[in-house]
Amino acid sequence: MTRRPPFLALWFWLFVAYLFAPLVVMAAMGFRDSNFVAFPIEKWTTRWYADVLTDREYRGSLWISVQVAVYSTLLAMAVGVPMAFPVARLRGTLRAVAVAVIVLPAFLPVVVSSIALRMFLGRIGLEPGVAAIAFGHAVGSVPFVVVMMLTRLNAMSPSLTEAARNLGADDLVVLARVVLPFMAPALFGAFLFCILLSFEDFMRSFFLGGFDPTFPVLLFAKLRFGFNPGLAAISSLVLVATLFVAFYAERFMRRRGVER
Amino acid sequence: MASILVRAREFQPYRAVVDGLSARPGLRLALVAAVPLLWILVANVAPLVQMVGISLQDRYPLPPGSEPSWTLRHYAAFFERPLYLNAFLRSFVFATLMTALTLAVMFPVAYYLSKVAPPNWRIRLLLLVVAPFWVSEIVRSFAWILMLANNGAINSFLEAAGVLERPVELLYNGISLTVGVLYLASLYMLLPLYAAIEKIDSRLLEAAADLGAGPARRFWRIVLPLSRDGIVAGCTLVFLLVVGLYAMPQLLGGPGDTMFAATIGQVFGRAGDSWPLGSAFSIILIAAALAYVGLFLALFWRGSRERSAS
Amino acid sequence: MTHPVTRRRIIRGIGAVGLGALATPALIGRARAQGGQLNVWSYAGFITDEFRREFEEKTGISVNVRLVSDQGEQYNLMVAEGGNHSADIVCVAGHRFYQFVDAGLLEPIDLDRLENWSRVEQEYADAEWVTRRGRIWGVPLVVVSTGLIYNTEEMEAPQSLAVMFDPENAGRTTYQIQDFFPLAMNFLGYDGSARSYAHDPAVAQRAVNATRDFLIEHKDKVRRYYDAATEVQQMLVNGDVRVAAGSSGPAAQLILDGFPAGYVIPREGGLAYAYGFNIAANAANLDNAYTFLNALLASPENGAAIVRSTGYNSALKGVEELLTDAERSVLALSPEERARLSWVEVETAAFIFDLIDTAAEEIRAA
Repeated sequence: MTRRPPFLALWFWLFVAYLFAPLVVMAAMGFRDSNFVAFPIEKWTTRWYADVLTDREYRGSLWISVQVAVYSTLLAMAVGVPMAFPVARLRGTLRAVAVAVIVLPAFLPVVVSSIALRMFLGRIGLEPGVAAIAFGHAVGSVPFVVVMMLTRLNAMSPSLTEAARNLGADDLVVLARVVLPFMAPALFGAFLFCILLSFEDFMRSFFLGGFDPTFPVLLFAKLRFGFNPGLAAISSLVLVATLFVAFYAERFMRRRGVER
Repeated sequence: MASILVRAREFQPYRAVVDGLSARPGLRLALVAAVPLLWILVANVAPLVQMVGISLQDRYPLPPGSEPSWTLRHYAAFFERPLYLNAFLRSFVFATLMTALTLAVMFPVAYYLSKVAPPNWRIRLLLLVVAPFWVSEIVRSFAWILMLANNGAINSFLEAAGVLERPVELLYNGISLTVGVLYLASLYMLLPLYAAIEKIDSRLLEAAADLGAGPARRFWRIVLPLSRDGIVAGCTLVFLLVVGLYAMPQLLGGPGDTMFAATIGQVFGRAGDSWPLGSAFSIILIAAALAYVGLFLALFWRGSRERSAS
Repeated sequence: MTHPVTRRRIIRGIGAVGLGALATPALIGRARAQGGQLNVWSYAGFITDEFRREFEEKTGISVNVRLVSDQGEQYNLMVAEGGNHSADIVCVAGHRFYQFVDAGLLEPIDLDRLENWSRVEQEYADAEWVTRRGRIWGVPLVVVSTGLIYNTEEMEAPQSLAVMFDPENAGRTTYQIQDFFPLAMNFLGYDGSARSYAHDPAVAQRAVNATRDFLIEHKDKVRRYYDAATEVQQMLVNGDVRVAAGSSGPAAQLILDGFPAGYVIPREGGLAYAYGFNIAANAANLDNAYTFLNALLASPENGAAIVRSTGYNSALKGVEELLTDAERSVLALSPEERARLSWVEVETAAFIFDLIDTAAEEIRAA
């Protein structure tokens, strides 16, 4: 048994504190009885939280964002995961070129890529809206999926798949029973990237969207005339809700894993 | 899942396809590569070609009824004035430093998550650490402004505690910029590191410990080499992210911290017709960033090959 | 895990409510097709729910509103749409009209179809910037002025822009470079409107360069350069700056919220411009656009609501009477201050803005 240095645990929890401190402040600002967020909070109110909870616009935009996140994640995974396998087999210059071309969309300043995508979609006749945004987000996410896959594919020994083949497994079986389980942490990471990148994207959503805004697009428009506590409140609610869903999903998956 | 696969294997057409494919590796490769290649053409290359086209035009959009004329002057503009070059170099230096800092901060976090934390807590802790990223970048920037401002959380607290008499300037300088960018970049380092470190066999570390290797030696000889795929991926992603960051450096940086991505953003927000200039600058940024990352990767792989050879 | 059943039930319940809540709005605000539709890009707060509902009931036209937050954003999107505009009505600031007009993105306003044009205050209807190439290109709704916003607890009302370069305020000022630049030109004795440089680009370039160098020299007075009005408000309430060059709207919002802020037009003058609605070139629902603009102009209530949500003065007749005394007093400017304001010079704007944009980049990069 290796010794577990307490330093690591301390470092981790310090990092968590760093992540959450500003968010706690933001959540508190949602209770400020004023049109602006700032210290000190002299008068408290639950009005902002109540307002945003019943706001039709926010709910509508969140629903659009959820749809876009789901579609774009499915698309980006479907394209990015198969893309990584041939790349992992390449060596030398060819590999460098392949990786460079694949990560291009992540380098392109997002204003530029959004405009370019909008013009392209106009040319092929895809209407702005959920499908167009999802496509745009997938374009931005695929590089992340491929790079995540490469963190483990390099280390996957070919003898593993060969052994399975020698035992009579065909491609699909090898994929489902050997490759994907080994890739699980990378797949999970790629999945998180896709969802998060999509959920907080503004620029692509703005250029590819129609008259139903995603959540960040609505947030930007509201921000134009002052950062009011309502914006802090709705952001805090989204944070709590996603934490809730994530932990619930994790518990559900773990339960199922145990039963099996 | 397993039973579906077993049944599928008895299904004749499925068998025919699978056997046919394994008999023709060329066809199999073509099928596997077709979708990715098509995607790359449509999603990655086509927009780039379009932007190159615009960057070479004298004006865009064309006023109604005029003909396009071609020029290289927008590329020349970059080299003519030192200010663009300054912002450009600042971006690269800053992104490099931030990449190194993010790696240093996140490696212990990733290691704790993937090796030290109790196994059935790992995913939960990972989800916890990822959660702040559900909040929009701009809202998180404003949250940091509330932390660091003259009347912000930190200054208010320190003044109330009697540590400070007047607020210290934490905002709109290198401190706030670093703190904010690290906040954004941490995720991009964490996930690749997590995926890479997780696969290191813990028994290897135990064996090394049994043989008398101290923590430092175990780290340098086992953990670091075996997690290099994650380090490479994480550094690449963080560099990509930081070099292209626009909103957060604008909001948290000081008057002297203009980055090249922000310059490009400004060009696109201009009142004049500036798409050709913005496109030309973008192309320069992409080319330079790819070359830079390529160089880093080449050096890294050569270094690690030499080390494993010795 | 003492009460697994209750907890699960609660979670399920919340889940069901959440999904139900999310599902309803998807049914509202659906697609946009021909006939009975109108597609509007608007700043938040420019079209109130009440006005929209009433308009839809009365006319049977359903209004799709898309919120925008920036001029450059709209310009880039319209260009990217390549002539096939998704909007019938867009929301362009007066001083950027020329850019949109020259790129062929707007439709001139036909006054014969806009019976309620007379509801626009004379001063604004006649303003030079509304017209380009002899045609009218937009309907002004709110009017913005630029001046100095300051913290009344920390300083006296400043009379001159000199306060922005006072060593006493080192690190305690902020401005948006492009907006501030013409004022700084006036401060240094040049012509910020560039009217007198129209035929002499070399002189204009010299004036811009001198102003740029002056601003770079005084960079230590600046805490940071801001972009959006929200940022300047946050810097004031957070105590990061004590004086800022900014526009009337953000200042009025702060004052109405009880923050100790003041707003003055300094001796060297200030700029005025307007926000309003414009009709997009080849608008698919042209008739509906005119119906909408007529209704909007006829409704001082909606005008007053815009004033409240943006803090800008209204350009429409009959709105002022609907405001409260507090709102009126915050929005009012003294006659001297009014006299110091000048409209952005549209004829020279394209030429001088180009020089200023470049100078702004140099100031940032310095």
